[in-house]
Amino acid sequence: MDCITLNHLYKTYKKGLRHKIYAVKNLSFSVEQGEIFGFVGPNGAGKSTTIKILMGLIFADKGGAKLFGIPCTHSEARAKVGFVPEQPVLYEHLSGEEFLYFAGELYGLPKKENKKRVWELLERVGLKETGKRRLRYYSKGMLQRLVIAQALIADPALIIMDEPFSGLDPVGRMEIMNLIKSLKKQGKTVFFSSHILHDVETVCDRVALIIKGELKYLGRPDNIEETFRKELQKWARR
Amino acid sequence: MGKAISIAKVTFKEGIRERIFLGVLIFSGLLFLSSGLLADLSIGNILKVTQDIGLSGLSLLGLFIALFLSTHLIAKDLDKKTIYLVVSKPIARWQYILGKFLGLCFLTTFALVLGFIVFICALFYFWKTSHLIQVPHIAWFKHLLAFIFLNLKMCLLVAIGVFFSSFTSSALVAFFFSLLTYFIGANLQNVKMILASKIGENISPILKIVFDFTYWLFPNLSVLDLKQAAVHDLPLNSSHLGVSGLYCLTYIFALLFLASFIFDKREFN
Repeated sequence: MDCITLNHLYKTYKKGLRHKIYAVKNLSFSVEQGEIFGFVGPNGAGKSTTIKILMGLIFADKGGAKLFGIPCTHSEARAKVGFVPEQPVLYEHLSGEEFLYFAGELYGLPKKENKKRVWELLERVGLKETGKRRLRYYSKGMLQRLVIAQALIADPALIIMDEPFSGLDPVGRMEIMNLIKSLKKQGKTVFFSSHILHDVETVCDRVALIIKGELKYLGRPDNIEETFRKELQKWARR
Repeated sequence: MGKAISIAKVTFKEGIRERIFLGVLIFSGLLFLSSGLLADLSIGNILKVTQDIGLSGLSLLGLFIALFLSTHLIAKDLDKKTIYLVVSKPIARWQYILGKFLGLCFLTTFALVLGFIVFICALFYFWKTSHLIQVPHIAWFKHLLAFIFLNLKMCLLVAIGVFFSSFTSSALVAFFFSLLTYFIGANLQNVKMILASKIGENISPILKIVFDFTYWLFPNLSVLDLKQAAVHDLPLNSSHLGVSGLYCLTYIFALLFLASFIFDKREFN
């Protein structure tokens, strides 16, 4: 079964009183189990909109979006999914440990297993020493790592990341790349959006390129930079 | 239900660690402790004035925490986008609403219990050290009842705050609407009495219809106010208390149901 299925997906936003703009237009593709899938496009292409539809944060106007065959509007669809949003904003008065434990509770993990997972993940993302510290005292990099840890708390089969490389220095980007690779080795599926084509080319099995909400390319990431440039030129000429 | 409890626990922790919560608690503590001094300055029975000030202070403390934190904490979740990490988990939106409501109720109850303990201790101290020739009787049990109903009223206010927060993005707007609802709800009974009196005979029928509509739409908060009964040891009707309690719970349920329905359709951009 496919992890993600998008079927003729449409999403519009109101512009003024009468006009509508398409954020996503007739988008269809699927993501198979075990692959690293890059979702690329320029700013405002509709990447985050699509991810928000998948995560049940917003709703599609038309068409279907499914996770493991379950429509995204159902909360059960997200049971095997970990999500890393673009902005690592968390409850600032909680400690790292408390926040991860809370995330585990939302996935319905049993108490004992949850506690064990919390400390395993804090160690894995290098926050064991600061686990008891309140999040308001964490740096941006530490918050980013904690957000990744919370996405992995229930050992999900699919991890969805929205612009995981944005705002990171080269070391941080390398760490995320290594994490994505290690997740693949564990048999996980990773779906992430990015506009940094070089990273996508290095790590992805397949990519989808969207421009202005429309799918322009779907396939292997070889020569994605060239494809991206051509598609952008075509779009600019219109 | 377990997931709603988890959200409630986090809401409670977040709320209790907010600086504003501590500030309100300190202010209320000072108010209760100084109620005896304030009563000294007033004309009349010092102990009655102490009780009046104490229970009013308790009401003010609850009002501020219930309305301010219920609107502030949800708006903060939406504004800072912390909600992304909650709603994207396998939970239903109604569980978020219920969790927030329960957490805020725990928070308000916690603050009220602390305030009530300080108030009762202060009242007991003033009662024991009173220099009045005839020390008045204090209806301790009715004070407890007044406290329980005050708590119920504050839970209703939390539900109002949660309801307005379910469709507004601004904490200020939700706070203003909730406060307005509180003022209307607290004065409904008085206006009804005025309309039933001779003055009401001169009021236009349209205005009366508007009032009838308002009366049924807004919560009648005065039925949950037992302050006068506690301070003046007035008789209380148990069936009336039961109906008032049930009325409050029904109203809370209806508000949470509506809030969940609205929140279910809401998009988080």
